[in-house]
Amino acid sequence: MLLEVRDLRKVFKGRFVAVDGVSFSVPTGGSLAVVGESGSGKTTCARIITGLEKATSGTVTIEGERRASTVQMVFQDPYQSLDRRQTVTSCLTEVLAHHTTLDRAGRAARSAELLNLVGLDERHGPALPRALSGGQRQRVAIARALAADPKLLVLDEAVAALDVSIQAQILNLLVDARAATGVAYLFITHDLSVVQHVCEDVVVMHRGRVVESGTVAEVLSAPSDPYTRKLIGSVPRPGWVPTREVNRVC
Amino acid sequence: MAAAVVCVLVVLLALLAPWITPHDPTAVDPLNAYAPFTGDHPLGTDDLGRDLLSRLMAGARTSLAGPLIVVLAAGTAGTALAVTAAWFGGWFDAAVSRLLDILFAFPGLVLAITVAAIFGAGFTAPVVALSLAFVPMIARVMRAAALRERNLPYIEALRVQGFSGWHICLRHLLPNLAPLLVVQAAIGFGYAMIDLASISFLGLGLQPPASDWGLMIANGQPSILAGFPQQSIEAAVAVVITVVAFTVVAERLAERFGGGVR
Amino acid sequence: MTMLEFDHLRVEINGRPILRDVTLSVAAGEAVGLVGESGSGKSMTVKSVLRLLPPGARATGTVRFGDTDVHTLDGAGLRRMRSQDVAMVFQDPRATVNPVRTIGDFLTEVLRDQGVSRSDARTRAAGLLADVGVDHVARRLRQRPHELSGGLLQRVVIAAALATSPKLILADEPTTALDVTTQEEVVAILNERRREHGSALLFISHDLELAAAVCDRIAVMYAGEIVEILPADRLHEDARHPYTQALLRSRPGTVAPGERLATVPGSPQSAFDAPAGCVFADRCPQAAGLCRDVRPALLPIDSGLAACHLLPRETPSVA
Repeated sequence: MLLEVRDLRKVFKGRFVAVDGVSFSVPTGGSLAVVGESGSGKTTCARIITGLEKATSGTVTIEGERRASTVQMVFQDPYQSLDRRQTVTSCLTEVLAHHTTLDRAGRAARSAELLNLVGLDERHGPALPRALSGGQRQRVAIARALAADPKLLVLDEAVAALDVSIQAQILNLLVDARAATGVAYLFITHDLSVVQHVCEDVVVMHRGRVVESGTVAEVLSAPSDPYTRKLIGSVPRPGWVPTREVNRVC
Repeated sequence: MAAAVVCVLVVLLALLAPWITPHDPTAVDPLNAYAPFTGDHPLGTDDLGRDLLSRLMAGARTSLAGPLIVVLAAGTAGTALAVTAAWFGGWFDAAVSRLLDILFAFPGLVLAITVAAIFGAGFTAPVVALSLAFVPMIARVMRAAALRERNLPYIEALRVQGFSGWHICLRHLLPNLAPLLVVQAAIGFGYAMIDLASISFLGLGLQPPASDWGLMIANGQPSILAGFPQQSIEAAVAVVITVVAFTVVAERLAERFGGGVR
Repeated sequence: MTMLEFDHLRVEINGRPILRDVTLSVAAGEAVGLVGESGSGKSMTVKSVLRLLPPGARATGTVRFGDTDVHTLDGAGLRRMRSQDVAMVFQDPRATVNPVRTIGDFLTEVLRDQGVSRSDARTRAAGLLADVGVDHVARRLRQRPHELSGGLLQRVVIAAALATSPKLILADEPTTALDVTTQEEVVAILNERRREHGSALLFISHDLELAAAVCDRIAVMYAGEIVEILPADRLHEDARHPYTQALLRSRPGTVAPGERLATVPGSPQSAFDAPAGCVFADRCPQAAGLCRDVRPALLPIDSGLAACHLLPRETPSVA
């Protein structure tokens, strides 16, 4: 296993339990979705795995040599996750200079390759983020994360803020990028329908706990947990009729 | 636009003063005291017959250098304090904030006057004291902006990339705060100029025969009673025009940069 | 009977078009979904009903509510329309409710304004909350917005919107900020209450499936124009415009796992950036020469209307 998360627990301010005994694992080159709604603790898990937050207890083990670039992350908001003063090329070469021993020419060549991989080209190199659309910015963010040559990419609601047609482009791109680089994905999302395109395995989180896990095909076609069933049932689809619960649970 | 032109002109005059003053600003000519406005003395002369235009131009040097040093020193110290406080957060940030609040409550001008009275009048003591007094003013604004900036996802993205705090602060945080710092410095410049002129006026700044503008206003006082107010008025007008010009430029910059955060 | 009608509505802000040509009607009691991506002008269309356009905006064409042209209303008429006849529900309930006043104050304010007595207003407010599925009503009335979750607060906003039994409800992405399970509840409530009051609904969404579940008809917008209108229950069968089809195909739930999603090249355009002919021509995979230069009219096809040169027309008709 590339990533092993065991009994992860996170308590904020000594009271609020955001993550409560969560375990899951991602195989090398695999793709795991962590699905849940706001307050489920999925984002806290992601932040602990990327080192942005410290767990109260539990372990996160990453296979092989531990280097800063092993785990990388793509954030939800493509408008704020890039430095507004930094050009696309400078953003990529900065990462390359930090994580690789490439010389100037090597970095330039590699950043052109990365742009190509995410469906951008050299014309976008000198552009500042404000000259790019949301989808293009998210492509830059993905290229930046891949520049460090990570083994695991954590995608925190990375397509949630995008328009439907752009979301489809980015989902396809993520599939291609995994095939091209062999990177594993940890896909944090609230949207079950997005999961089946990028992931093989899924864990469903609710109020800090894992309520169901398995392969995407199993969980989506035959959910066993009532919450998972409710979540799947809430996704608008052809012939869907929204209903309100009688017992008025929020 | 006009304000920016005035700023540039004043700075140029100050820089070039030693070479372009029509007369020696300290040359006494008692026979020519209180000369009217003529081609030779466009702004007249003072009680000792010194050319007022030359004295204003020469005085511009110290009158601008003082606030410039204050703003540079307070800007550097204030921003450094603000960024470290925002970056580390927690008790360090809380301690810095409280300290700034306390310093902020203490009027800068009074502090500067006290220091000048203790350590002796001159250029250095008031400028150093005022620099200290301006740190909380700049640091408070910069800390709020740095905190906002620090919480933007791109900073987290850089942390996940494994960049050091130094690298992120110097290469990303500071450049993004720079526009706001320029605005703050321009506003501070106006305040510092008035404060330093006040100190000079009280006799705690530069001493005669220097021609600092605040000092010129003070030295012109006896002549007002004699019916020749031009020295005080001209020096006061110089202060007002410069302060207004810098403040207007600061406002325009603030509008353009929108406080530094989009 | 037509409750709301846009007739060749065009809105420009400082000379830049935001809406190019919007023609759409909503019948009394009918629910129409206005679907499009960012920049398509769907929010601006709704705002033009209440004349809530930003400064510098200039609208031509007409927006009729009942039989009054909205642009001719005076201050009093406009206020009457805003306060009684038309209700609006926004995306972010927190931005809509005064954060320092209680939920009770918020709900009774409208009723008190119409001369309902204080105690009656309290009772009615409690009833309204119960109707939208809010529990512990007495306590909720005393609470302030920050003490309620987003889903609860949006129900409160819907309760307030329905308090005056408006003839028309304008809902601008009312569930976008909510979780999916909460979205289902809120949409169900909105739907149920609307039918009870017989109000018409103009429902804005970026989600075709959601709009189809709530509405009778769907209007698809792109770059300031409506490109297709069709019955909600025929959405998947009868969608004929390339843009609508692209939207339907790009939704991840609609194709088998592992298959590639159909994508539209480029990114959503605004009315200002779109080509002079068909607004979608720049991104359309089938665009031909005619598409870029000549504006297609919204013409009947199958069960709906579509604006596309490439569709076969049964009888050559003139718009």
